[in-house]
Amino acid sequence: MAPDLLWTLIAFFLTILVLSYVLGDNALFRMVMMIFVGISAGYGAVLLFYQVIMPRLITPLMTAPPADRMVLIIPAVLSILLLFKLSPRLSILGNPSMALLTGVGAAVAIGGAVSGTLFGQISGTISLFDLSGLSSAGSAISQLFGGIVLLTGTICSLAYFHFGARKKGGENTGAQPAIIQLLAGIGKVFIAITLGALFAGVLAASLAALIERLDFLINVIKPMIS
Amino acid sequence: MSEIICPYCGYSNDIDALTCLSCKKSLYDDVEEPGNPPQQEGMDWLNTFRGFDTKTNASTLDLKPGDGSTDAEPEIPDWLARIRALKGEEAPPLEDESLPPGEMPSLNNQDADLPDWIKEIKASDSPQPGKENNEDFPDWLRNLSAEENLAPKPEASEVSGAALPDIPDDLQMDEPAEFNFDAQSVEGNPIAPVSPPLDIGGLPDEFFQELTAGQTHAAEEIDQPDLDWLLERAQTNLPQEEAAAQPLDEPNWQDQPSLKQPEPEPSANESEPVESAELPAWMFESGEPAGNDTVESTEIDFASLEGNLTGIGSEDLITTPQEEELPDWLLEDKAAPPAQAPEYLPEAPSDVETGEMPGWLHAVRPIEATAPKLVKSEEESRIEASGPLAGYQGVLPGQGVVTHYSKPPVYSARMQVTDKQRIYATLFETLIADEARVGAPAAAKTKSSQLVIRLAVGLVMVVALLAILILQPGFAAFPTLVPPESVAFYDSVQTLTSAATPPRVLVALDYDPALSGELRTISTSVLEDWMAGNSGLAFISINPAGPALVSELVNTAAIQTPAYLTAERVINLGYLPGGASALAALANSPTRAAPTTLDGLPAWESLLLQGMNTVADFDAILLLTDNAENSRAWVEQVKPAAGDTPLLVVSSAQVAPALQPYVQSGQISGMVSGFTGGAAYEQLTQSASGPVRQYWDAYQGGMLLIAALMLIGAAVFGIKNIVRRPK
Repeated sequence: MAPDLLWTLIAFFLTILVLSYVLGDNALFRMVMMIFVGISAGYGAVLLFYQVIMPRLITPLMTAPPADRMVLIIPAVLSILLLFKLSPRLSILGNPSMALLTGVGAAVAIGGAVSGTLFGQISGTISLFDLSGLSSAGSAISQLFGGIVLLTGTICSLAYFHFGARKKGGENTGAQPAIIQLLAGIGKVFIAITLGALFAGVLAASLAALIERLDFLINVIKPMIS
Repeated sequence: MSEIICPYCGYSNDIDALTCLSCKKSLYDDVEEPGNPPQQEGMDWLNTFRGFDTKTNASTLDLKPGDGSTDAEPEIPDWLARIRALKGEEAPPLEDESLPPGEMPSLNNQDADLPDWIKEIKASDSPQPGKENNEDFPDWLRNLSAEENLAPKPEASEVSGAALPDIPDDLQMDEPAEFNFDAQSVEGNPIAPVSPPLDIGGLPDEFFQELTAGQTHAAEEIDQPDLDWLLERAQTNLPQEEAAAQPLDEPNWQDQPSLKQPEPEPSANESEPVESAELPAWMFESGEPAGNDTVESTEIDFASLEGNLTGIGSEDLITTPQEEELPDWLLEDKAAPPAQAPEYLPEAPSDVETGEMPGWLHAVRPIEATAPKLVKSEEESRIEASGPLAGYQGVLPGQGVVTHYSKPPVYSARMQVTDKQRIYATLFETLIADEARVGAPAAAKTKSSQLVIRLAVGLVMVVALLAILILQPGFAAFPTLVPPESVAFYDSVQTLTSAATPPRVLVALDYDPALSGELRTISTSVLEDWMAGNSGLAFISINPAGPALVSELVNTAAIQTPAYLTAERVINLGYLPGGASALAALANSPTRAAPTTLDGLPAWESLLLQGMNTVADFDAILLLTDNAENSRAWVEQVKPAAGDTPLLVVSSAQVAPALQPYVQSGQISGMVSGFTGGAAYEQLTQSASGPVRQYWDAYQGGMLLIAALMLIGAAVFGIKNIVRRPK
């Protein structure tokens, strides 16, 4: 039996077992899930060792010049300290590594969000109201309408997530201001449409994956039948 | 109520009466009896009362078993009982040899000296022949009477002298050595020479021999040695000996000749101080009733009365015959119960001056008379019967604690609830039970119906898709309207692939194997176009599974482009760990972020990537993703560093809504999302056998079926709700 056919049969049976979930949660489905999780973890560990740890830490520590070795000691020590997180009693030793990871990650995320998303999205929203480059009035009206809808949806969606309450007589009444309530109601519609689009996208992606798997099964079975 | 006994007829009169109601004679006149001078003899009698203790201590009143005077003594110390027992059994009849008849009155003489009213009292209290009046006596006294009747009565000549004095208990103890008085201490007392030898060990015999021989001294001479003896004992002996010497303080009215005192049996109870409850009943009957308790009776100073006895006539004394007879310790015991301190004394005459208690009386006063009485428990009063502590009382009290240990009380931890609360709790339990009973079948029904619906929908979907895939009906037309982002994507690809130099594209593979079926199908057409333009493809992934998917994707795309040199034009940079931080590092310096290929070779020294230092050096960045967060990270971290390099995205349908704003803002140059985007791209490329086209019928049929099922389900549940609502 050719290796490709063997792996094809394995993939076939595993696909059937996954599709058995249509009958409900069962042992075969859970077994396949465990196999996938185990294979993914094992593959990830091997990949990290041979592609990250060995070429980027161990090999340079052995072969690199002393100056580079001194630089590599820092990530080596931090990595070793990170292993102490496995022990609840010694987990405090891993806090410096975790602090470094968290701090760097937060700084990178915030910087990217400000420069990449906030400024980019504001610029893109404003550009819709720039009608100077448009050649026809129809295009201008269409772009302006799109810009108004986009701006309205943005403002109303933000208003929906405004949880402040109105004060009356120095006490919170528990009710939002009327204008906020109006905008929040409109924003609720935009949010519902967005969530509906996301759900449709998930459904479409799942349907595409199912079709691809069924086509795989047909391609496996068809040669056997013929 | 106090009473006055008529000295003539013995009738009991009221305390206020001046004359007897029976014989009409004056109650306060001098009573004269033949051969018994009233006043002088009465004074002698009083003197006898005063010196009775000391006199009897020294000279031992001639009291023998069977003597009638013992009945008036409420308490017979055990030492006396022992002495009497010895004397009654061993000693020969005693004879009064030492004392003159007038100085040492015998019992008969005393009886003759007594006033008539006392005789009457004795006559009334003495047991009548053939009549048992022992009911008035305490139990111990009845026992004594019984023994007396059984004991042989000596002759009348032997019953001479007064009753035996109250000798302390220690005189009768088994160790005579403890009772040896120091002769020098006795000699130190000026009156000591006249006292008898105080060899306590031989005291009883010599004591009684002197008594019987009549060698007693005159009362004045005898009092002092006896007092010294008592004082010395009070100063030297232990408190328990003082307590034992308490009977010495008692007036010798108890030894009245008319009262028979049988020989008592030694018992533990007799060693205790005399309590008023043990006093003879006749004493209380002749005075105030026992139940009438007032404070006045306890406030009378007997010492003053005693000190003025010589100056008081018999008319003053006759009204209170029992006043002087009561011991002062009994009167001072104010804390005693009322029943134990009967009020039997009338008011003292106003002309009687208050005197002080003599020193000797203070000294010999028992401690129990002044100290608060300790209530001994059963354990404390227990006498050891064996062992080295035999005979001791109240030792090892802890033994009783150990032996009488009982389990500690068990307190219930059960909550105390009222009837009302119990009713509420029962009602609440009933409500909960009803809810649980009703809900269980509904849950089972819901679970079974959901299973059926899920199974039916699944089977319908699988069967329909299989049928469409097998039959390939071709009922679904490709979309004629192409999204603008797909058009932009197509334009970018065509622009780059149509350039003179083959483009070098950084392909970021960032999707999970679960959605590889969708993304591989969409990406295959795109990669085929890139391969057709002989583009250099550098794959990198921030997903651990990415490097494995790269080879599969390249191999699938290379099938349609066999002329494409995969080994030369494709390089796999492998896994880039670190998420957004790794992307930032890649944007700043790709050579340091991903220095080697998946095979460990230097990536940036290859022909494909040679001379490239930044991401902007790439002609395009192609992102294959199914994750919105990672897609946004690529846009945020890499795109600003890429400059004018277009960022093209092939995404899953589920992340298209999240990436659409970046498409609108121009941060993403073009995007193909889902089968719809892939079909649009293939429509633009005029591909007749693209992978998306093969699945398009199934995809459209499946979407239609899903829409139909959703509509059917909504209709069914809507109708069901409408039907249920009237209920």
